Amino acid sequence: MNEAEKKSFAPDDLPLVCEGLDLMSLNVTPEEGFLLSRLDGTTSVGVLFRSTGLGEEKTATLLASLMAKNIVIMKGVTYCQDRPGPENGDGHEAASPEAGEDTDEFDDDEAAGEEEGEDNGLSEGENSQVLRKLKMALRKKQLPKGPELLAIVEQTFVNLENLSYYDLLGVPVASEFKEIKKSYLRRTKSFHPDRFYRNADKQLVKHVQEIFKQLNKGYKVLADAEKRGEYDKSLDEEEMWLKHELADEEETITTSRTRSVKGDSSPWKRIRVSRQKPIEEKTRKKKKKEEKPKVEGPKLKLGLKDGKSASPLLKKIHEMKEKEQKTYDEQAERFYRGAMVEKDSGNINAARNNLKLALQYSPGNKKYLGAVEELEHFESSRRAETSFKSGMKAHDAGDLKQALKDYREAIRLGYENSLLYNKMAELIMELEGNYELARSLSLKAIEKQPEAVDFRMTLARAYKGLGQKAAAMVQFNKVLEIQPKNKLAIKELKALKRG
Amino acid sequence: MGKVIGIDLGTTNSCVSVVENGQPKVIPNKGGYKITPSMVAFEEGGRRLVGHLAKRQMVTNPKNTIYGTKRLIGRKFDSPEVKKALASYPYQIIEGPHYDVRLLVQGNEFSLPEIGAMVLQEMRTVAEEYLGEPVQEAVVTVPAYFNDNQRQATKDAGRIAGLDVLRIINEPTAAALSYGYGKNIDQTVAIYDLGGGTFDVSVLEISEGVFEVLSTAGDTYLGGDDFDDRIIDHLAESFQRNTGVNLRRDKMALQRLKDVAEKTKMELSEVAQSEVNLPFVAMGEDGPLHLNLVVTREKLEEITMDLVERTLSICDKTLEAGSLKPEDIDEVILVGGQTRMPLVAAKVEEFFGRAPRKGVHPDEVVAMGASIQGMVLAQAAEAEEGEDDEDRDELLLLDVTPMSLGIATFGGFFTRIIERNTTIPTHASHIFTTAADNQTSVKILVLQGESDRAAENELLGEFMLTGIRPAKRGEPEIEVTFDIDADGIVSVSAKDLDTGQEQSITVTASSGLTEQEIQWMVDASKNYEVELKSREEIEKACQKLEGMVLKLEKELHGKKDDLPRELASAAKKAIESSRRAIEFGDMAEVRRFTDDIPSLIERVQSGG
Repeated sequence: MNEAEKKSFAPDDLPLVCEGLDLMSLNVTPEEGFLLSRLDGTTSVGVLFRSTGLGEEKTATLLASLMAKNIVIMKGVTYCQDRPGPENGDGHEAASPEAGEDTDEFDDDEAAGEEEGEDNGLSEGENSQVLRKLKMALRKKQLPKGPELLAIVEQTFVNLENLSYYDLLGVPVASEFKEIKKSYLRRTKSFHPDRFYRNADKQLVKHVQEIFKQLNKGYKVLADAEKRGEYDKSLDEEEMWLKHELADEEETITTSRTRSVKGDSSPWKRIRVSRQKPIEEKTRKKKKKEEKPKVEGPKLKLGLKDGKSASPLLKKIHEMKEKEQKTYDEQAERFYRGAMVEKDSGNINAARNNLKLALQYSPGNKKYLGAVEELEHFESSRRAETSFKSGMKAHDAGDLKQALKDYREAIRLGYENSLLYNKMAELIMELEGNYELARSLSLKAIEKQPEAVDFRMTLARAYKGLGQKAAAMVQFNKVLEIQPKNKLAIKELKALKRG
Repeated sequence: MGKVIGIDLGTTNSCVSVVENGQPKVIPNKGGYKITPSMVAFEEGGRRLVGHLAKRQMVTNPKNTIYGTKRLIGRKFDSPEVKKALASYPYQIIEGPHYDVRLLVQGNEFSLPEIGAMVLQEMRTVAEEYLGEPVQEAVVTVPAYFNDNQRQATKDAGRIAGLDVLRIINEPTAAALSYGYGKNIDQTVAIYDLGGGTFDVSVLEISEGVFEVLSTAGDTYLGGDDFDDRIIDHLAESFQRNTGVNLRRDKMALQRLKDVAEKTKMELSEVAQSEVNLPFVAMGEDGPLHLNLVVTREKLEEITMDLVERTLSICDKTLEAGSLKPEDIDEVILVGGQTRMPLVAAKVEEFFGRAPRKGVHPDEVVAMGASIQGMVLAQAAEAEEGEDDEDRDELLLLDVTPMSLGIATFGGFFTRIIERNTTIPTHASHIFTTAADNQTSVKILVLQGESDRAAENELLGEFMLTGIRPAKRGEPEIEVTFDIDADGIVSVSAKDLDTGQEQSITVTASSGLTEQEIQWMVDASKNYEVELKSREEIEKACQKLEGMVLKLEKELHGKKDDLPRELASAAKKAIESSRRAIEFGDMAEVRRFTDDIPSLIERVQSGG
């Protein structure tokens, strides 16, 4: 494996200094030494690029040469893909002084890398990588200071929604309250806005403030036995989801729920986030419960492929899942029906909310997705109509600019109405002298209503404006064909003939 | 960046402190006192006296001596406290343009933040003289139970005094900071703060250098002054019984009573009985009357017992709010001059089942705590930059909201959104709905307080949320979000979840002053400062010239006959003109003679 050649790093790759090296006797250049001093096991390549002051290229070169000298190894997406052996690469435990005890987390890490490694964009895979690293960083008792803390602050802020209270406090889910409290007090020292009182970066201070608010909220919940129980239960429910996921994958019972939700793009982001949040948390907890710390993804897969040897637990989960699925489907259908009622009575927002809920219970359901699309269409055409009407009002009232604005909006929303095209065409000629657009608009209008005199008049004027006399005359003549006594057209024709 | 000072702006006394070499130090004023009376007096001609100078002339100039304004600051004119003050304070209290309280002194109107600013400015000067450098930033303390309007008014006072108030912190919290600073302790402490005008009690947990306020409560209508009032009542009643004259009607006599009451109260903390002697306190039908009465400690305790009991019931509430029992408290700290009263200490000991901590100076501990918080904030910048901050004192204060915040809801009720004693910064939201069919707008009244009736709480601000889609009542969903930042600034937003309409305000609690008014006052205060400085300058220059003139006179006298005539007459003329310049305060002339006279002296000395 020729690591020296690999000069491109992913921003989330994590360079680690190999353990057991006598740092004082290493053969490194001062620059390499400097870089070495920046590696603390939590600083990612991306952060290094920004914070060393050496520039991206130089930093990458130095990193590569340190790797070539077997001083530094790289942990992260790139590394995992390149390594043939997916797990327990010998360098691993040795190379992670801080997280050595948490080997199972490493495995999680790798599994995620495998699962979503092919995803190269700014996607789920990468996000969860960042998230995992962040969680690991947060698990430290004492958070670092200075620039490294700033990096953690920024990452924590971005991922605030995806971190459970336990993550934020850096304590295991089963922690005693005393432990939680201690950790909370330590965290306040890192995240209290007073710690950044004179910091000139107001944005940063704001982010710190948000983190601290969340920290407070979490502490308050966990301090109250009842609330903590509820919160833990909500995490437990997520655990059930996770188990379903595992089962789904292997038994190829495509309920499409989790998968499609995961792969789905933006509209239901919130849902996806809440689903995803506690997965790692749960994996960890589950292991504890079953007292089999090494049962992670891959092994489970093997067991299930045999089919017959599926454990009673998994069977039970499967049953429960089916039962649950049924209730979920029913629930989804109820919401869907509600949505239709709301839609008919014109409550677009209520309908949308209902559909959202329906999709939450039955993600990826074609019928519901179709309904959402239809609803959006319905909604936009309604809005377009409103725009058109208010445009006509403004037009009548003489507020041409407003009218044009409203017409534009209506057209943007896809409102198909020949009258709209014509009005817009008239206005755009008058206000902006845009004859070309007026021409195409009035052509559209005529396409719908070939007999309308007004539309042809508009088109003729547009041609006139464009300097295409012959075409304009044709249109005026057509007007006269339909309406032989149209004075305006006669006048215009005469003028054109003369000119 | 200069030093950040800590100021305890008290009802009766104020105190200033600064952290030097890691140790909080209380700064004595010019007179050598560590505390300065929170008093301002106006002499004839508009000269302003602050502190001890004001207190000394109080008896002779009661109408123009302003004290106890902390009880009025940030309050509305129609509040009960102001009504009480109207009846008992000798100076003139009037209603301001924004339902606020103003004082009328010698035809000039003053707002309360302005009076506060005069005291703060004095404290600032005390600090500047000690440090030898300008001071721009301060942390100022207020009673824990001050609402946002009162806090804002205090902040405005700081601004008018030319101080950037970095943070307003609670007095008991400051006391705890001062107690726990530099100690590596893990304790739950109760701070019992009975000051001149207010009573506060707070429970804090100190652990790992983090000071976490668990619970706080208090009474802004209860303080040492109430103890004085009880003595005044006792004295006035006895006097009326004996002579038939009501001393309360006579403002001058009342002032003397007040003085002697305070003195008696203090004496009775040391001795078992005290003799009150006020000769010529009033005029009777048969000539002047004297007040002569012995007050025993027993009597004092009898007439003030209910006040002490009231403080204990507040302690009870505070512990309850923090789900604590008296046994959970590791240390009790007494703050405020009134806690020197043996009855108070005894009752507190009885309540908590442990003797209060000795060796904490009740008058100074609050200012010291404020300066410590000032240091913490000032150091925050350095902490971000420096790597070698390991030995820095890791101290952090987790403050809480002193009172619940919420909005007025249908039927005149108060719905809490942020409960009191919530650690700040924080945010919380609550979903409300409309109360009538087709309601398209809703008025959000932002309130602070503990009463379930909206009207009984303090109004912090209000705004309208419009554009709600007409619907059956109860259908629209309006999310109201409260957000408090680390500086305690509250912002409130309301959002119609249906239409996405959103409205928000930052609740700049009203101190009763508009921004423009504050700006005027800042300017006026600066002008006064300049005037004061130039006045000092003139006085100094005059004194210097006076000295020279005296010397010249002496020399002239000694060599009277040996001098050439023109030199002697020139010297005499110079002396005469100099004296005139000094008399009229003519700076140009004073400077000219200051330059000329030394050479004249030389010539006279050398005999021409």
